Amino acid sequence: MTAFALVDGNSFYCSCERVFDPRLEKRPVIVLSNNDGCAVARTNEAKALGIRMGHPYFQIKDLCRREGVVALSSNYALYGDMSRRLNQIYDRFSPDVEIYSIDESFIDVSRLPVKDRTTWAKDLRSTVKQWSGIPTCVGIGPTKTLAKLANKVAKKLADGVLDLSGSTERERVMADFPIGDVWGIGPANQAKLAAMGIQFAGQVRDLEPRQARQLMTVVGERLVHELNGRSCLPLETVPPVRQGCAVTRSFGQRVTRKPEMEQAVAGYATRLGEKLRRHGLATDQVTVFMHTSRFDDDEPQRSVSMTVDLPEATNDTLTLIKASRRAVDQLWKSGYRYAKAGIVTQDLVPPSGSQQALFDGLDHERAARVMQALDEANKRWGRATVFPAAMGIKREAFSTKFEMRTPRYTTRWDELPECR
Amino acid sequence: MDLTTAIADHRMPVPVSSLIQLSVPLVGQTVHAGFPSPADDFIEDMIDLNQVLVQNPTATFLWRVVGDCMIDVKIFPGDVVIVDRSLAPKHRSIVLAIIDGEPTLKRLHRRGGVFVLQNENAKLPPFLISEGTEVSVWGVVTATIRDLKK
Repeated sequence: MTAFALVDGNSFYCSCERVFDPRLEKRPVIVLSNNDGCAVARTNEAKALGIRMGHPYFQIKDLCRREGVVALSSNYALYGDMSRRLNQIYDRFSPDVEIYSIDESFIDVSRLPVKDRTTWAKDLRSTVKQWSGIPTCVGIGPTKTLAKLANKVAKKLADGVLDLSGSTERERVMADFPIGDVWGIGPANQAKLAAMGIQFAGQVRDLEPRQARQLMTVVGERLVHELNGRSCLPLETVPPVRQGCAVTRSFGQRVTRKPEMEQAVAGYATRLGEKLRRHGLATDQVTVFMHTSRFDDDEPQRSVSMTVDLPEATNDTLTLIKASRRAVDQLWKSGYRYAKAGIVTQDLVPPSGSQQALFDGLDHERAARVMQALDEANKRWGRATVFPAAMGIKREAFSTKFEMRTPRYTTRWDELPECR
Repeated sequence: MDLTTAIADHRMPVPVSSLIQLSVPLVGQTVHAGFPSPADDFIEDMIDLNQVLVQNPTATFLWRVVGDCMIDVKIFPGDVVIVDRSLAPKHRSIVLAIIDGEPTLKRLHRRGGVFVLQNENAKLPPFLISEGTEVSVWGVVTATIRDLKK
């Protein structure tokens, strides 16, 4: 019988901040998305004030001031390092760990006797708290879907651990577990199920697999099996090959001039090239998009995109910039206040696996050497020490806003936390 | 790159774990082809600063000292302290304590089952915890790093 544990950090980003600034301990804290757009992490105190996940910051600014909510910009250097530490601790508790997201990991506990699983989870939880300062919850079940479900319920329990290995306990919990909180049921399927009078996980479990398939494709059929304790989703300890890659950003200020847009998009192309090279992948097409903000509802709206095909798969920054520039040329129209732009690629391939273009081929070797030098310089002296001039010299206009970011406490010598 | 360069060079992000790579060869030098080196049999491991400075990288964090409450034990403002959260604090451990939300270094004493925190600075008044003060131990200080070039 398979068994999985799902461990996740409670209000993970906020908890990371609290480890290094203990004054945040009793206060409501929220962490904002890129460009301080909306709340992406909230402590319980902030949730109690009615701040929702994804709540736009400009809507809650006054509330935050009034109630003393500490709003912070995302500090990904810190969260990434803390996540790495958490997974190092999990590795001591099991050889089979799948890092699912920055704050969630699945751990295979099949070989652990059922009677020992709760004690094991409590040990893991207290070790993580002691070593890293991050509070976590652990849910255990015979399938990933049930481990997720157990974790959701564990969040409300005093000891933060729930083992649903036993079928009696499972049935009891699923009887009133809302379908909207089941892993894999999105708003669309939730609406479909609700229309049939299905509100709780237990009712989804009792669906005929074939009926679930008609309703929600294979995903629905798999879901019914998973809720019945038949595991369909194995542990993925090796990350799957990336299908696509995207670099998209909201602008710090609206962009109204074409050169600014060209520079911003050149910056995204540069970042895309870095990402592709790091993963040893390449792409043979890029899609560039740009749009205005729906929050500027008294202004003209525009949302456009364009795909440019490359003669052959590449991860060369300069080629990617050239292609994305062509797209900006075609897409650009003045008179709009653009709020966001980005580059998206699909069907990534290893650079060697691509068909070499017969004509118009790229000079691979030279390009690869330039890119290697670029990557090494930026690795040594920090991101964007060396960058293509196409990105422009003054980049504040579209650079990401991190006005309320805390120090990068664990990755920079000059930003270490301070003590008296 | 050596440790002091790493500290001085602020542009270099140096996570604690990378201290592992800061090693110095004990017996070094490339050997020219054709001549077997008499030193070959003596090549040992590299000196690893982690072995003395960081026992448990996962649970180890660096803090910058800005106060002077520990100057009698030669922890000065500007120093970096290495703090291990996985160690249990013992009698006479130097700890990073959180006192009413303020991170501060103190010497921990155990007197008849009661823990007491003290400054190590004869010029400061003895440290007293008034009633209602919230105190916790964040981690145990295992070493200090001082840049002597500054």
